[in-house]
Amino acid sequence: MTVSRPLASAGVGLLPGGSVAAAALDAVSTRLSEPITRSPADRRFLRAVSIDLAGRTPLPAESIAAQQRSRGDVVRELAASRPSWEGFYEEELFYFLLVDNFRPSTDAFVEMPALLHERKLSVREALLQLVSSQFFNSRNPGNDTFVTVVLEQLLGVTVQKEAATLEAGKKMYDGYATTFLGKRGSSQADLVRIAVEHEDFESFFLERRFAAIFGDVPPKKRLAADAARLRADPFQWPAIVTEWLSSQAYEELLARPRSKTDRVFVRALFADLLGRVAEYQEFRRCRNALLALSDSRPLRSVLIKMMLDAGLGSVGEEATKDPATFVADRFLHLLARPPTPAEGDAFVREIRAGASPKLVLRALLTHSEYQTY
Amino acid sequence: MNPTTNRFLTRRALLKAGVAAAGAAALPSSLFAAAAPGYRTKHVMLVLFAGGVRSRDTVGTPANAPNLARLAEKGVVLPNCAAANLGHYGASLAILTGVPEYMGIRENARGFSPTVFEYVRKELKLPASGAWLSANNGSQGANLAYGLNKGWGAEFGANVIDGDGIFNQEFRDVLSQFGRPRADGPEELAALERMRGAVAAGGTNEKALNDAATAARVEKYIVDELTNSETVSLTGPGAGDAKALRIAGNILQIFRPTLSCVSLTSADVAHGSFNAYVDVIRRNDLELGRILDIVQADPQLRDSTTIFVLPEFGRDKNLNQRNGLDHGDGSDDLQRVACVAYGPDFKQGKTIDADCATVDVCPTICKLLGVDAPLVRGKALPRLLA
Repeated sequence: MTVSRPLASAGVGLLPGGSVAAAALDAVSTRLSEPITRSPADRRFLRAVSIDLAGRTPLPAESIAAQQRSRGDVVRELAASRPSWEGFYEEELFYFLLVDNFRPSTDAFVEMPALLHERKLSVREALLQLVSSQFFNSRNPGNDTFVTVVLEQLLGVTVQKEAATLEAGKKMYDGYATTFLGKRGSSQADLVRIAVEHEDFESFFLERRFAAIFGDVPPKKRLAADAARLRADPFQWPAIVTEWLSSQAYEELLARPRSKTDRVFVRALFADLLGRVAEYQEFRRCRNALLALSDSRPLRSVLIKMMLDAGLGSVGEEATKDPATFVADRFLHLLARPPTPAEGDAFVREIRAGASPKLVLRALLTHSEYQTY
Repeated sequence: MNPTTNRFLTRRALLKAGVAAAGAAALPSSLFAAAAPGYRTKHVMLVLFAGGVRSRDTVGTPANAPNLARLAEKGVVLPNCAAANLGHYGASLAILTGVPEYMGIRENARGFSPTVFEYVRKELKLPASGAWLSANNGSQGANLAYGLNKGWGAEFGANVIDGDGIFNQEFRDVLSQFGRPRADGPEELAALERMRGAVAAGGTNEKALNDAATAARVEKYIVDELTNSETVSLTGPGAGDAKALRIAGNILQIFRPTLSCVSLTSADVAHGSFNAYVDVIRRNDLELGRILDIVQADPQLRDSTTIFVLPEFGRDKNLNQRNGLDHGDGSDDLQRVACVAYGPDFKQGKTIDADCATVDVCPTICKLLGVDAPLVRGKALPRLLA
């Protein structure tokens, strides 16, 4: 059986017109050995890799720590870091819709990012545990739903085209000995294990993770090679994603702004405005509200206003003492670029006319440019 | 409530229920096509009274749905609408696309046909504020806003709002944490707009659903709804549906969209409890009455607003072992639903027994608004026009 399910319907957003050339993905970025500086290009690079790996923009301390280190080193270390595994875990939970009441709450799952970070757990084992959990079972009750979701979300199978496989899976789920995906089993646990051990498991996992970054399916040969590598060594995920983000293809991707998902937006807002990671409940409430709108920008603006009105987000005294420096610094911090002369003049003029520093922040945070990275 | 009352929804039952029947059979099969252009309808609200609702529990039992009966008395009842699909999502989508969709209950992907929102927005060149979908469908709701057909698509989709996702205790807790947003002064807003406008165009090439001005209006609406309305305080069983209806009424007043739709789901509680199902119908009917009051109290809306109310399909004829109602017996109770149509262009107090289908609603709306819907498979509902 081969993967037959389009990624777009698997909840993976594909960018319009995107196509990743195999050669560009195989080629190492020419800038990989360059040190990270405070230049706009490096800020943009650091923000992008942090979002792609940890799901948020870098915290102030993380930005400082990256200074003068090579891009290659920063990506490699970040890919294997605890924040990246936390981002990985959260995205997997969201992918499997293990959110809100279905979010795993037992110790084994709370500790999962740490165990992944310490190489005590591989990606394959982590997903096996998630899909075998009572939380996943509650999320997908009954044999039909459970088997359908296992086939779709672990292997990318279009179940409508695999009616016999679905029926076999339902039988195994119900406790009858049968053959599912070519292997014998007689329980729900057998069913999940067989799916995770299937030859398409690694390729579909990598395909959807690649699409989440590049907005496109990976070149076939590269996907096959990466999948074989991950199958042989399930601890290879950080190395594989490091190579993707160290490629010329990723360098080219940075020239094309990508929209922040609501999840990234909330996490980035907390990091950029408050200099801290959003607590889970803070994140969840904001995310759920944003997901309730087809165009979440108006609600994003409301959130920003609420946070600023509440006095969150320190702006310091430099805003009034040296408005030009304040404006330039905020442009760099939030948009990863300096203001143009016209932009700088316009903002300084408003500050001198009485606009508060928080209004400056609000103008930048609610602008469409901040909605991208 | 005894589910065996009004067991067979007949024309006689409708008459008894206070919905006047008419000698509609004497009329030609479709006056719609022959009608002169220039309808009075300027606003259409489509209420998907969905989750699987039998006609006999609504138009057949006015005590459950007195406001729907009120709407029917002033409009037209079509009791013989064939459902297009027996999965909630696919059946609701079929009403919006005018195409018998194949998608099932768990499907969480967009359809391939354009929706009525896309037809209307594209041809009338409406901004996104002209088409709204107030949904209680979770993540599936957003899929109802537009389809994947390249001739239409996202840029012509509806503004979707899932009221239960925002206007709830959870988000109220966010308000408690940060404090309620302060009202902006006009000078402050002007300065904000000048600064935003001064930032050189950035972002992606993806066109946002709402233009900046509309986004600002939506932002103000959300703040008002969070701070000044009772929507947040709607709780309890069926609150998601009640909020969807409440929000639709508010949006109708504030944005006056050309097309709005409410997508309900809570009646599906019927699988486990017939009584809970009836409670949902009653609560939703109460909110429907509020919308009707809004329309009738507004001089502009009163003479220009058309409302369609129908479920996506019915439910089984008989109770299941849990004293609930499933949807899979193939009975007429399941496969035939009543559509109530009310508006300035329609007859009043009539029942039209002619066979029709839920997929006929989309082309009817398009006709009323003077819009072509080239890919629909349904036909405009028969004999509606006054």
